[in-house]
Amino acid sequence: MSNRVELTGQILATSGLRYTPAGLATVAMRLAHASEQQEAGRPRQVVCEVEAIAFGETARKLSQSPAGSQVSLTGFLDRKSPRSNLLTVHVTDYELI
Amino acid sequence: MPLVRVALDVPLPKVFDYRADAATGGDIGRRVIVPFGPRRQVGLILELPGSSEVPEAQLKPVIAIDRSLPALPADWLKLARFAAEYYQHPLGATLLALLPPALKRVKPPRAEPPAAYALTELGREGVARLSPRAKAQRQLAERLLTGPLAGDEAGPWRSRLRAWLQAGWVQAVEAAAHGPVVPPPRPELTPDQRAAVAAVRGAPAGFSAWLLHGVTGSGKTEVYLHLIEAQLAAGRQALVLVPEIHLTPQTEAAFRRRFPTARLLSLHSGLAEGERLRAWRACLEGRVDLVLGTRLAVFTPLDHLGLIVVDEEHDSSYKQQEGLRYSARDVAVWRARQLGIPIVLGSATPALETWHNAARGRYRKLELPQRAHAEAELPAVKLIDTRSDRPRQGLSASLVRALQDRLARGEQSLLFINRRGYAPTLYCNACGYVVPCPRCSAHQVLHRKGDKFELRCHHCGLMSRPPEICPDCGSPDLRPAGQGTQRLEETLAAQFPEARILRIDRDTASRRGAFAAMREAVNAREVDILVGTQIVTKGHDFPHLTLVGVLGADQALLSPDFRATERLFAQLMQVAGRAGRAERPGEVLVQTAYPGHPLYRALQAHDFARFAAQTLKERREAEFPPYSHQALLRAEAERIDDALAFLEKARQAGLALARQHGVSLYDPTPALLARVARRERAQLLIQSRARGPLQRFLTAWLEAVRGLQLRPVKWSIDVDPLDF
Repeated sequence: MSNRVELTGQILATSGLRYTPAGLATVAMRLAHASEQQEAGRPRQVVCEVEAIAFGETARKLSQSPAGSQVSLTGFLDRKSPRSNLLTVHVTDYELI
Repeated sequence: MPLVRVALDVPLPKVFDYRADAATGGDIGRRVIVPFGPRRQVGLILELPGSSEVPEAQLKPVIAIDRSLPALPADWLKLARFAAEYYQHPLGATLLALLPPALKRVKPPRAEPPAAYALTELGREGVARLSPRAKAQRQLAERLLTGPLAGDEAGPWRSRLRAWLQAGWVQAVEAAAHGPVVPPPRPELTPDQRAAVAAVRGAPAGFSAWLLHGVTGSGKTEVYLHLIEAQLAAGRQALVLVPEIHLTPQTEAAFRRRFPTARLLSLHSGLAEGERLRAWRACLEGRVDLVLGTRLAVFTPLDHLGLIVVDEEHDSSYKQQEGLRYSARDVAVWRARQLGIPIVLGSATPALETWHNAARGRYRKLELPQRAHAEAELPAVKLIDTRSDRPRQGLSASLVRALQDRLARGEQSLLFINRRGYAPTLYCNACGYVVPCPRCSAHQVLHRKGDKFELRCHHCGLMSRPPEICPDCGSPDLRPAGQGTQRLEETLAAQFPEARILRIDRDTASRRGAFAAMREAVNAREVDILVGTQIVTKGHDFPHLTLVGVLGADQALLSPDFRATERLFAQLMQVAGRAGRAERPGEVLVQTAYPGHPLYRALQAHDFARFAAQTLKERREAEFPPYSHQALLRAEAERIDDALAFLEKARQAGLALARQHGVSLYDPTPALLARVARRERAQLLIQSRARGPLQRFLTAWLEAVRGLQLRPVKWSIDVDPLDF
């Protein structure tokens, strides 16, 4: 089953580096995305905001990027919480651009 | 041939006969060492029977009768017998459980050093003739001439004191006198207090039971003190029971100040073995005027007791939850009846059983409806509807504002949350999994330890590291869920960086003296916000406290335990009573999603009577206590089926008897907390309209239950159970 997200965006706000009770690093952030995509054979503008979360080494490094940074990330989607229908991008890798 | 009948700590309701050539009637109530199988055992001599059912040739001689202590008096033996019969516990096991631990061992206890030493007349003459060169002796003499020397000061002089004790120069006394010899000025009694004192003192001699129902801050203690004073003046003893160990030092200090010359003993399970034994000996030898203690103190042998007081009589800590499962309050009432003396049960929120007894006229009710401090009003109780004012990290906006106000005015606040630890559970934000205790049917509680976390089970004590990933789905996104005292403390510190915050729960207050130090810090106004569990709700005065916030109270409304609302109401009344005890009015804010609930309505009106009437009506309809009497046969085994099967067998064995006595036997069910430390627990409820038939049924039935095949099952009986 595939679940893969590739997304470029600007970091709007981050929670700062935190830790799970087991001591694993984690960071949550909001990203602004703006791009041009092809749809029904024509170009169109996309502007949206996305919530993202990361754990472990990725979180540790990502948390050092200040708000305003542009990142290109890959990851997957999951529910925001067990009782929510909203989705969050789980970042597994990223590059600063 | 002289025989003694001996009670031994065995799990059978049986006593044993031995030969004791030198035994006399004066040995009844004495400790005895006897051979029992291949071992020696400690027992108590119950009587000197004329003959035995055991053939003479099989009777063994006792090894030794311990005459170093006075024999236990007959009325004490009778009290213990009553406890054994009523709580359906074997007599020998009961008697031995009531002795101080040092007396349960075969090895004779070492003579405990006295609490304090005082010079005798002979000693005064002796030290006057000491040689000027005996410097060490003269130093000790000079010290003793200033007053009694406490045992813990005696260090370097210990051997010398032993010698002087033998020579009769010094004698053992219970405690070095503390503080001023002149009692402090006494607050003037309010008219209600005066009426209460007069009622008890004016009652005809003999047994009388009183319910002293006084709102928080109404000065119940002052009433006790007056009644005790009268007893002491008449040369009689008084016994005062208090619910918790950490309450005894505070109460003890108050009593010592008031009765500086009385010989006061403080008894609780926190005492070292030697201290327990010393206290026991002092009681047996009649060298005590006033005994203050937790539930075990109800069994103190006292030979001229004139009054019993049970403070906070509703408190569940009066019920022992293992072995001899007695209620110290109920035993105290029985003891007062046995001795023909008055007993005073005091509370702002009496147990519904007690309230019902007062309503039926079995106890007489004394009301203290007003606070003793002339300006102190009962606090205004307001409800915060958490459906509209949603708490963030446990705190609603209204509560945060109220806290801000107090901080700005330099007043103290208390946040009451009955959950210690960081968060009640650790849960997986991806799949919803909640980390359970592997050994119990409960969740593990997340605790903060320094900058790390650990999981603890509040039932079996198991500790473990929080998992890195969810054991169910593998996600690393594990989060603390809900609020505990530690997390609330952290949230407050972030919210109010300038505030001085103190957390009081079992984890911070369990060390000896820690609780007293905290209370002092609060009273010295070194604290702005207190975060506490039910430990802070019991009888502490915090005069600078003007706000009480209550978090997470709704939990108890959803509990399947029929006593949960009674406990919640008592707790909330007590915690609300902490606010505004001196001249400043207090305010209580309760966060709830059920602001229309009758319990909260009664709380707002400070109306215990209304709450009691409502709840008693429900109890009557459901035929719950006090409208019925219960016992619980508890069974535990590794497999729940074994426990249930045993109970079913027990039920079958009792059906005919139950019909005969008009007693109901319910179906065996798993306990509310079905598994603790890998043991599965089940229970069988027995219920009856009246106590007598229940007692008779239990005695006959348990005889049959003892005969059941029960190898993998451990069982016990709980009469008047409080926990299910």
